[in-house]
Amino acid sequence: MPHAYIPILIFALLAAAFPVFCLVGSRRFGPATLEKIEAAEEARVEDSTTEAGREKPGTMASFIAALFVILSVEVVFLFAWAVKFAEMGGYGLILLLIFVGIPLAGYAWLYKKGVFDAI
Amino acid sequence: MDSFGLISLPAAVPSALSAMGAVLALPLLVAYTAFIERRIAEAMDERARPVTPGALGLLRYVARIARVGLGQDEGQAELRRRIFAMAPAIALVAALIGYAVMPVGPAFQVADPNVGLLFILGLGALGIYGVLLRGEASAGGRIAMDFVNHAAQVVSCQAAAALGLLSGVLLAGSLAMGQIVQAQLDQGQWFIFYVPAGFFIYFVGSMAAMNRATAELPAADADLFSVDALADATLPAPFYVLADYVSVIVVAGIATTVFLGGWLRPMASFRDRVPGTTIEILDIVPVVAALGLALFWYRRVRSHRTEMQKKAAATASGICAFVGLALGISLFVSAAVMAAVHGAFWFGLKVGGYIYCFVWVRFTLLQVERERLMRQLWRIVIPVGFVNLITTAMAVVGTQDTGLPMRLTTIAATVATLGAGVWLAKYAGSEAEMQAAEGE
Repeated sequence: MPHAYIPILIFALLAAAFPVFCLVGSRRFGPATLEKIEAAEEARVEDSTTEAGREKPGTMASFIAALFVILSVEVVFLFAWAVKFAEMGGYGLILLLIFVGIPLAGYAWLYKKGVFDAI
Repeated sequence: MDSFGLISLPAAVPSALSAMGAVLALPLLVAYTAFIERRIAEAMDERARPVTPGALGLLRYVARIARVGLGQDEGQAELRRRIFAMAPAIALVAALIGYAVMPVGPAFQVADPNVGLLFILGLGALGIYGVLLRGEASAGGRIAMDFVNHAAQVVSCQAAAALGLLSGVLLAGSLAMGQIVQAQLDQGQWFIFYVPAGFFIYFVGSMAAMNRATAELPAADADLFSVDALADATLPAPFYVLADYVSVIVVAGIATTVFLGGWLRPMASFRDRVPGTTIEILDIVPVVAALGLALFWYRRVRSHRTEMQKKAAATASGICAFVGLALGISLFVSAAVMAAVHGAFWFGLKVGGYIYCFVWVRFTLLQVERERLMRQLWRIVIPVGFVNLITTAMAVVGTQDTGLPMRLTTIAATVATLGAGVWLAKYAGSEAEMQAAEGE
């Protein structure tokens, strides 16, 4: 039903127009001290890039990224499953236990191993 | 269902108009959420609240929004400037679009696609780009890392929140927002009573995902801490604040739709009518309550001493009278109008109550630092979410196979989930103790 998405599209365009309007408006009508600020900011930004450099994200972030990729895919597939669950009955339950059981076994093993201490 | 491909333009016009209305009203709605938050904070925490301009400072946020529109753009090095400026706008737009599928009563919904809930969750994930790109485009390494850690926290919380929602979807058997509400009407029960554990997981997950109670904002933008910083911050940083408040309303709307019965009134299946009319008895209750409140506040106008209190009471009285009259008049117009107005009233009331709980938790519980939050999320909340899903599925199958009432099987499922939660919390606690002992 593609027509259901047309209002959403219109809505999205209007929603996007709001920040764009604000940004353009502030450009046009905002106080005109912009150039001074810009110069100062540029100097500051260059300072901090040369000084600190760009650190890599810590282990926590990468670890969670990996976990999240697995789990979120799992969860998103489960939404489709949940819609049809009432029709499938007991068979659906078995499917769930297999589908969720495999990653959960790995999850429990990681937990036991103490891998989550990194978080 | 209409046939594929055929798009009737006239049919799209009303929804386009409601889309426009919603977008125009939203910034103000958001601003007054902030206003109400300050009022609650004042009541709970003895914090001062803004009182000017306008009665009670009601005009303050109108001025604030105007100020955002006319604020000063912040400067950045030309290279990353575009992304840096765009990132908060992405966060805001992603949050705003979520409103498009909010079912505010049976009549007020911009669109009801068959994957509505998934659509909102996807938008929530899109909003994370707003955080990540900002970090990527900002110069300092420490700042970029703060943003990355923040994004890691948000995705973890969203995973937990989605798990909580799953149990509700399981019972409804649909992802369309309208049908989820309809399912609760058909089953004669709000899903919060069937899967309280799922609701709690969603509450915790969504709250932590939204910077509200527990998480600090990305440390780089300390000026984002309150909506009152809007006036001082330069564009486009305030978009984050707006996006944050928009998300609060969207999250409350999702919880209301999936767990709290959406636009249904309490005891929606009790449909006895006043003899001789088509008016249902229970629909009179909110009318009487609103008018009663209006009278109560009107009497307070005289008993208050200061001008400010008088204004406050008069405003409250006016709002209650308006709501009561709108509800009352709609009873006599037609069934469709009545359903629309009362549906919007109940939806708004539930969303308001949910937001109140959010603010309540924010100002009463201690703030938890990010590492601790993440640890508890991954060790306790997410596993319990899976357990809850499995037990809920078992309850549904149990009802189908044995014919036991749903109420009974879901209570058993909830008890099992709680047991698993307590066990996991104990296990995580004992593990932490062991680590502490080893550390010494």
